[in-house]
Amino acid sequence: MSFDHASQTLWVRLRTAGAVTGEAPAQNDGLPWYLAGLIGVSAWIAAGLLFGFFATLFDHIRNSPGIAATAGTLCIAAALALLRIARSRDFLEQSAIALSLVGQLLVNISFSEWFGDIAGWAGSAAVALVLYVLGAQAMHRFLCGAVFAVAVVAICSEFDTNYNGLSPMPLPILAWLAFAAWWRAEDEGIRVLPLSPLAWALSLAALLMAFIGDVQWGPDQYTGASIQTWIAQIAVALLLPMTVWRLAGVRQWLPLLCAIAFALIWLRAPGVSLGMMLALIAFAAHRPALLATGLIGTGVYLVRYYYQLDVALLQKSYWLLLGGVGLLVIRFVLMRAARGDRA
Amino acid sequence: MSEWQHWRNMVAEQTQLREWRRDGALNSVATIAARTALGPAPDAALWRWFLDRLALWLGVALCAAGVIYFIAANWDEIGKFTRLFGMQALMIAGVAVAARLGPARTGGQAALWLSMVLLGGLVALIGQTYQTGADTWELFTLWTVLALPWAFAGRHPAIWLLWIAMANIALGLWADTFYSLWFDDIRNIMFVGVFDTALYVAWGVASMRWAEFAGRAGPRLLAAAALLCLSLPAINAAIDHDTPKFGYEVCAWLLAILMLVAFELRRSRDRAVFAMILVAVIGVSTVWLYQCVKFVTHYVFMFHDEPAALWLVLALLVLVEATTGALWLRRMDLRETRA
Repeated sequence: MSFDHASQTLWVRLRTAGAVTGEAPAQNDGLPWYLAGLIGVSAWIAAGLLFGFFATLFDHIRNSPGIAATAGTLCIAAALALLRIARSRDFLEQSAIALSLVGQLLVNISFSEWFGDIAGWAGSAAVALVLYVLGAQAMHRFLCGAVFAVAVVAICSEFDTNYNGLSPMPLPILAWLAFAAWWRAEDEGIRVLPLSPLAWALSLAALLMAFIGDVQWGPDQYTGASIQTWIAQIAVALLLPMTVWRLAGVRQWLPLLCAIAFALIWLRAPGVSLGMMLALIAFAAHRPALLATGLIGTGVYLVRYYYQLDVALLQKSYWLLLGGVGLLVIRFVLMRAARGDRA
Repeated sequence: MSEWQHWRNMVAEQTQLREWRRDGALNSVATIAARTALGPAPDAALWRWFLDRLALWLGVALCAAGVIYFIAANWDEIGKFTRLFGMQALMIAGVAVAARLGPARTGGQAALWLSMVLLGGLVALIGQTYQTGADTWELFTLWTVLALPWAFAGRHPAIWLLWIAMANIALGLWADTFYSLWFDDIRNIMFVGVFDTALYVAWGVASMRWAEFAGRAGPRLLAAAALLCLSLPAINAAIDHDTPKFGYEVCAWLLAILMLVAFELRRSRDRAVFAMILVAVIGVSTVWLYQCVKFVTHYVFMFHDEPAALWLVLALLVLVEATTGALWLRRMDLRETRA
């Protein structure tokens, strides 16, 4: 707990405006992004090692779903109990996160053995969402969101057997879920359940799918863009106009028309639309880390896009140049218009 | 106050509101009232500034990528000289715009950044036309050397980061000539890691003198690249042999860690860099410890089954390491806030 000058000043400003009363509360220092990263990565490593422990202890854990389910349930229960008593004590919180992750993995193994892969992943998604609600710690919620995203990818890939690699469908599903989660996260101060950890997990998973979604594993059976690919690309392209419509309002037809035009130009490069959607949401919602993620994600995608096989290289270059020149022309016109207004 | 600073102030206010709400200091009614009191954020002027910058940098990045893709497509309907002269004309146009606007303006910096990418495209085009071989380290080295004066002229971190990326690729490709092709051998990236560590120190020294190196994004990216490129070979040294091999990969990793820690402790004490170092230490030390214990139990005590307790001990060790690291960083934060 600490008191800093900026928060005191803000409280006084709000009190003068009649929004709050009384003295400024003591500052409960939140989790900075670098600490969140450290805790998240170490929790994943610890969860992997704990899984190794269970796998070594109970040989052939895959063939004993009963043991996996029991161990998993115990881990999850212990994780929830630890989260309740942790009260910002780092070691307990991290142990809880690692236990929760390994518990979810063990439950997934048992569900898959009992009910098949699709039901197993659906069960994992449901367990992750329940733990998201129950385990009130930001990093735990983010990692439960990540497990949910992995389950979505796995379910889509199980349903779509036309691909040797990943199905193209998880990308639009995750991107739309991220859009909806960020939309709802705007009211985070008003509602009880914070949605930003889930929105973060879904956004990162969607970006990852944009990077690796077209990778083919197994024999090369490339047949060009399929119906699913088209549906996925159109669904992602729709997100940019939707975001602009949400931010600018339906009466602002010029930004909306521009967004539709760019969504069409970037139809075959869904990573650019996705990155722009995240950047716009981030700026509106005052989230610098999300802004950096959207912009760096777009940059990395432009490098990755070179190797995307479903669009010819020459065609890619035309669409990229059209989008780039279009943006520069719009900027030039707006600058001239602003100068004209000032004059 | 610059627009960026204005937005950062708004970010700080909104983040504070979210934290007060999370801690229960504000109820939902007070949160709505506080948001109304702070006003619409961001306002129209701020949006105009953001969209202007976004359109400029994204437009330039897309044009740069489009030109590089176009060259790579090797379209034979355009003649050799049209390609070469067309590329040169584009590059000269970019430099002319940069010179006209000046390096102090964002437009000038973006034009110079684009010209630097086009310079690489021109070098690649010469290589493609005269069959000197694509993706060779000589081409990237030439691009890096030719672009160096432009990076000095640009005086912008984005231009320097592009130059560093080019230098990294050139070095990686050169290292590939020893072992294998295209970063295939994980040992090759060790050279890139050492180079990035040196650049990290150089960036820190330069930041004391030149304003364009003042931000934290550059050193953080360099530290992340250096740690990634050095940690992977150090992990590989433990798992790629029958017995863990304490070779030059681990020495380079250790030296880099010591250098980064010493430099940060003396300089800016950036917690983000310390967090990256801790992640690298946890990752590498866990793998090494596992391999060493496995080696000892297997060859010294002749146990051929993997002990389950080892996994549990390692998991606990990771948690202890991460917790200690997090506590250390929190204390550093607290000391700075008090100071």
